[in-house]
Amino acid sequence: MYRLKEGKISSNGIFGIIVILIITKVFLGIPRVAVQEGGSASWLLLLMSAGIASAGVFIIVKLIKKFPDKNIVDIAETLWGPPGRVIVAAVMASIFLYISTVVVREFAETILTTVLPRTPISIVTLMFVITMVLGAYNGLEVITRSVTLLIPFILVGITSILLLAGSFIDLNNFFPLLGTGIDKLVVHAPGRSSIYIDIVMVTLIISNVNEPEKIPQQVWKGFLFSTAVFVVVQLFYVSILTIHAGSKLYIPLFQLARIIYMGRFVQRIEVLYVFVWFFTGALQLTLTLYGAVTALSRGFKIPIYQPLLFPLGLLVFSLSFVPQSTLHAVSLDMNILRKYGSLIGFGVPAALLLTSVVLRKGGKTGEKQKTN
Amino acid sequence: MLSKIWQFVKNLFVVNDYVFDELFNIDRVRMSGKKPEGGNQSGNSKDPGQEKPSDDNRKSAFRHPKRAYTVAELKAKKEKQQIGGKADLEKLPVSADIDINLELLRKLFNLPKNKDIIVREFSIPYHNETRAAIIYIDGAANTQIIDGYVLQPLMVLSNLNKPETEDHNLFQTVKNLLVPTNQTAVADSIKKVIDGVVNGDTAIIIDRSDKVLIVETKGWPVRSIGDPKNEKVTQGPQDAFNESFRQNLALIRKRIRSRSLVTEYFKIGWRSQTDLALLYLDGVTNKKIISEMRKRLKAIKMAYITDTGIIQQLVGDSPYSLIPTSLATERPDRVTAFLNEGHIAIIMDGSPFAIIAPITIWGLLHSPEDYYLNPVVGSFIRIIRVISFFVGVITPAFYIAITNYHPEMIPTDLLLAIAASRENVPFPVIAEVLMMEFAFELIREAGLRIPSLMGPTIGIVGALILGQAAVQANIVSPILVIVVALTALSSFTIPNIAFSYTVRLLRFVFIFLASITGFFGIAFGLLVLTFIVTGMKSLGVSMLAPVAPFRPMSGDIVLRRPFFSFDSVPKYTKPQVKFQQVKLIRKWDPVSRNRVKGDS
Repeated sequence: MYRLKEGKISSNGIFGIIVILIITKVFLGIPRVAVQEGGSASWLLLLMSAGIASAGVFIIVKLIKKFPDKNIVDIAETLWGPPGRVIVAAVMASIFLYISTVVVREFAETILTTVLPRTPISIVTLMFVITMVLGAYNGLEVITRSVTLLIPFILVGITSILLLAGSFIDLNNFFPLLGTGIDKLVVHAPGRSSIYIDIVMVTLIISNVNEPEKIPQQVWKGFLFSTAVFVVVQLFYVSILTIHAGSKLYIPLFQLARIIYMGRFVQRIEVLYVFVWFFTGALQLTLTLYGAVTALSRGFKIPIYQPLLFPLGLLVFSLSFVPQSTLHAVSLDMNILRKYGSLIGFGVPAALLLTSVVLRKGGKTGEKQKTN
Repeated sequence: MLSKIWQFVKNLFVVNDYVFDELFNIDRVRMSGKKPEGGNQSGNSKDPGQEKPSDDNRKSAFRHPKRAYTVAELKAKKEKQQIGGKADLEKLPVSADIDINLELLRKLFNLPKNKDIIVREFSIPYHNETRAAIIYIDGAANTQIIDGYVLQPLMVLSNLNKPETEDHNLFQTVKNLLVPTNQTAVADSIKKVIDGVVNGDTAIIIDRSDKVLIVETKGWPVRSIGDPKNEKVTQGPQDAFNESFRQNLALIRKRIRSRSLVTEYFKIGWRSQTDLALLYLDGVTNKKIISEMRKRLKAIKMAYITDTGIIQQLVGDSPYSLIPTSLATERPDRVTAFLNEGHIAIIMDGSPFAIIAPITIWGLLHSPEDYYLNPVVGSFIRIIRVISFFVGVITPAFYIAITNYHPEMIPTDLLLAIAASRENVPFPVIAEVLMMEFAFELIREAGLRIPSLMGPTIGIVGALILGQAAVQANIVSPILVIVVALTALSSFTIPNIAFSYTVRLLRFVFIFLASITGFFGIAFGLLVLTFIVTGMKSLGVSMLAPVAPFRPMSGDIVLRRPFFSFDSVPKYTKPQVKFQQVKLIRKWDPVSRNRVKGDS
């Protein structure tokens, strides 16, 4: 049982990690929020926010290329000195802790609303937290392998929802093409780029990847794939449920699963999607918890992270009860984290990159100067 | 168990230095040989300013303290020393006086109390009627060999051609001329004499010679080669291992007639002195796997071992895991196939099961028959088996979840049917399921233990109790009988016995989880199971290889490619060879030829 080595992962694993980290939001409120802000052009809104987020991804990739052998806290120490290391570690850990806490609450509420109406929320949350701690305890290698193993099932799950509910598609629902108007799209798109801030996790695990030079490619692949999933789901969502119903649903994809009707026998099969929900949610939460403990252990130079897991798991469990209601939890996610999160998630790497450019530090820059 | 839990909880808070010990992993061995990542690649390792890799720092910072002996180890040491009371006598060299040797051996063998140790004294007329004696164990040695090839030549035939010189070395003559048996050994210490005798050989002690001749006369009672009891196939070889070490090895040698097949011998158990062989193909199997297994086998220090099942627990990677990390098989053809793919095998005297390692989950789900049949049929039965694994584990849990938590997903007609059938049953679903599963476990266990003469009884009783009577008495609903029967059938389709126990036990875990939180509990269980299995290793190889971690596959996981496209050896064991057949076997077939062209 004492498998306390973190393990090494191949660069292909990065793709899976990024996809799982990002597409989880498709099961939570993102399709609804996009419809609220973009109307029938919600897919365009998501595309625009992905365009803006690509700048953040570019910054992260640039940072990885500049410091291919260092994680973000090491980079912070190189550029800003020891205080920088501690600050960046604390910020990273806080982001991931925040994500874990809010998302675990949202998922627990989702499970309660959909399939287990009479079960106490603490039981469901506890089961999520146990999975998170157990997965993170076994290290990145195990998490990545589980992600690789389960991603096909998750994608098949999403695809089957879309195809089975596809009989209700009405193309008229795409009109008006610009939805709430181009001005509103432009205003809302930058905030929604926060959907992608989880990518910053990659900067924490560089030293665990076997071929660091291949990370940027995988990051871009993961980013583009997740964007495609978002846009496709949004297209189906808008065309099947219309913007009126679509802007008022608590769990958008669940509703899609619910209307599936393929003859008398294949109907009301939405509970089967609990597997897809749980796998995606728990894997993302495991990764974010792992991100939080890794940030702390690397930031404070603790040789292993496992002893931090149990306390942090307990913290996530307790903090997840802080939001007073489901709506409060959703608003903490959609109105704060996924609106302003990119300021920190992409801001910290941007600040580091800026410093490195100004101070002319970093592996690649040095080499360039020599060759020039 | 409590201490184990306490240790786990403690480990959440406390850092022990042994956590830095590297588990054996053939992937990692390869990686550490690679260049370090990043910019500082080019040969500046002597640069004093450069930091060492963090792993090395950790290792040097934390040294292992010298460990005190555990109580069990102390006991073992003490027991060894007790044997050592006579062990001092054992260490004595063979004396030139036959009386001293015989007295010593009689004492050590507890004669005359020990009735099956036979000491036969006689004289060899060849040279001055020299006194001699043989010692052997009645039953362990073949008395026909002793009579015909040891006693007869020494006592009768040696009379015919006597030497003329006086100073003659009788021992050499006996060894080279008089005893026509195939294997002999020369023992110069009492210990070696005893080792020979307890192994079924015969010791020839000759007066005025300080050496003893050990003659191969092993004649243990052995069963003849029979059918496989647990791994039956319809098409394929029908021979199986038995309890004889030599015969088992011969079954493998018969199938791999190559000098590269190596059988390394070990003696396991300081009292039982059981023969054990580590088998591998020199030049094929990864050397790190061989040396790791050798290390693990040498670490076994026990008084006796009775079966390879114990070896599996002693050398396996996760001794507490429900999922076996090595494969026990009674089929020589299976061992042969695994050896050719770069695995190692262990055969032990007295056990009809060979162990194969490293192994993957897929290997546990395969049956040799999959290979002997058409690839389409082979793939089909494998798919059935994979489905039946999940059916066996989840079906009762699924039934509980649907009836207790998610009745809305049952179509109305079926819902009404279930409700009607459950109307008269007074128990909750979970109680019903547990009762039926328990009853079925009883039948299965009783079926195994019952004397074969009474066998048919169990079928009648079982069928009556589990089926009709229980339903008619309104104790269980008819649909549940179907569920339990389905799970029972599914768990019998798993070809590996240890793995079918896994299915049986996991089923109860899932029943528990489903009864708490329905489908959510099942999903929870599946994910936790995934975490556990992805973290498991069998001799350094991931149990889910080559799926996770993803490696180029040999087309032999669930679906099976046809044999003419199996050109490469599975890569997850990192064998020393790449190919096991030529690219195009069916040269005469235009379709295959075209296909290979397409591949390349």
